[in-house]
Amino acid sequence: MAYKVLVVDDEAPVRDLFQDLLKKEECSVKSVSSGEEALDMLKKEDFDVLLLDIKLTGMSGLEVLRKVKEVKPDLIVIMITGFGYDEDLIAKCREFGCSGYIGKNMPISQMVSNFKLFAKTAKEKKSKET
Amino acid sequence: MSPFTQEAEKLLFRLIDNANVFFLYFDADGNVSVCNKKLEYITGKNREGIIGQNWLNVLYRNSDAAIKQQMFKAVVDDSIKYRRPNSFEAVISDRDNNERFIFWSITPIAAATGELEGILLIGDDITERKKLEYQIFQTEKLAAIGQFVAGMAHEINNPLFVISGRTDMLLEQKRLSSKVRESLNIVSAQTDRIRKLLDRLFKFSRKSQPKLEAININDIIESVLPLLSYHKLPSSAVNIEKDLAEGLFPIKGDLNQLQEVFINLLLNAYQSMPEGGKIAIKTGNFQDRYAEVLISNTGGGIPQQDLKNLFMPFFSKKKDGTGLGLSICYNIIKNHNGSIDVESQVNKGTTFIIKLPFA
Repeated sequence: MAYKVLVVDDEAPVRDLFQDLLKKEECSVKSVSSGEEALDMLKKEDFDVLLLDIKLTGMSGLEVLRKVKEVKPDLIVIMITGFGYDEDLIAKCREFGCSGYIGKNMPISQMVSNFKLFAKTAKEKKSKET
Repeated sequence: MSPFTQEAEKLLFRLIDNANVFFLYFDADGNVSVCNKKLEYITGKNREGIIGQNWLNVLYRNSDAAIKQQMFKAVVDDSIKYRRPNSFEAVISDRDNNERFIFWSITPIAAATGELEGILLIGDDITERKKLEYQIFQTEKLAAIGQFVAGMAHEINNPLFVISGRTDMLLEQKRLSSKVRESLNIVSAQTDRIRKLLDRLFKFSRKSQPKLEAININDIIESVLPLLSYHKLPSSAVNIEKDLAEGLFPIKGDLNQLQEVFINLLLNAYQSMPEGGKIAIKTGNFQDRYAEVLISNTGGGIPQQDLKNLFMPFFSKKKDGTGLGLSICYNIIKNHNGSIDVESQVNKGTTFIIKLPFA
């Protein structure tokens, strides 16, 4: 796995943890603390995966997801949340085009393997389409 | 000289006797001289047993708390002393020993001389309105708690995620002394425990809309019983008796959510009978609108003062309970537009009554 990942979370210790976890999986990782910064960064650089927290200060994660999908429909977006497993929220994220959903309540190993699975599946789906 | 004709007086008497309010008149010494049929009915006493008795003895049973009687008496005494009308909301036990809320209007009646002749009590049974008000209050309180809980759980989840992730990363390192590894394993196990508690909190707080489909309650009960064996049950013998009605109308329900409700109630029933006992599950149609499920146990029962808090989050009498199980059940049933009630007698047992609207 060698994805280029952009992590969006408004809490620095969370961003740092994602950086360390994903670097161990040989991903190159950058992180920002808001939706606005994420949209700016995506204009300047290409990423394979956007790891996006749902609850952000300022623009919400869902709003960022909707805007990102308008300009970069092929970008793999995986949502992160601290709200536990919420079917309604997952349905909403899927409706807006996210590829997967990981909860901060998951054990870390499960979270990393879910990340890999969602990213791989989305990438394969994309390459089949093209 | 009466201002009424004889016919009008007769009519007035019939109106009072048949009115859908309680009517009680007693003299200045407190002895009852007039009552109507509704008062006879609620007290379970006939007119002969009421007339001439002290009004408090008519309305209250010996078992009723003296304080309730004294409060009512104080308000009536105030009316007598100052010759002014008053009102009082009293809780009395009816003929079947059920609590009834009665709103009494108290009117002192003066004779032509100005002397106090007696007191007229007219009472309205507001029990159903009180129940409804209580349910609304309960629902609003739960919604507010749910919102608070979700916010708190989210705030805890973020640092917990960092602690848990960092601990797991440290545990992956090979060069750790056994003492450090042991300590990290403890941290990991304890964060896991908090995580599971947070999951329960989210479940309680979530207003997840049920995915409704037409289902038969009997099928849900049957599907739940084998699942019980996956849970830790007390080792004592518990018999389950089923009385599932034939011809039960289907309800609109979410299978998974309702399974969770019945598993919760059945596990609670098991846990209430550590010495063994009987669980009875009965289903039936209710008032042509609802399917009703009664889940009874022969456990130790729930004290009266605990019944009001039973569906509140974090209320638990169990040593290791989170106090969220029944509040989750309550939310699920409310989201199905149904109702969940409980009746219990200490040392006799408890019955949960669930009503869900037909599909």
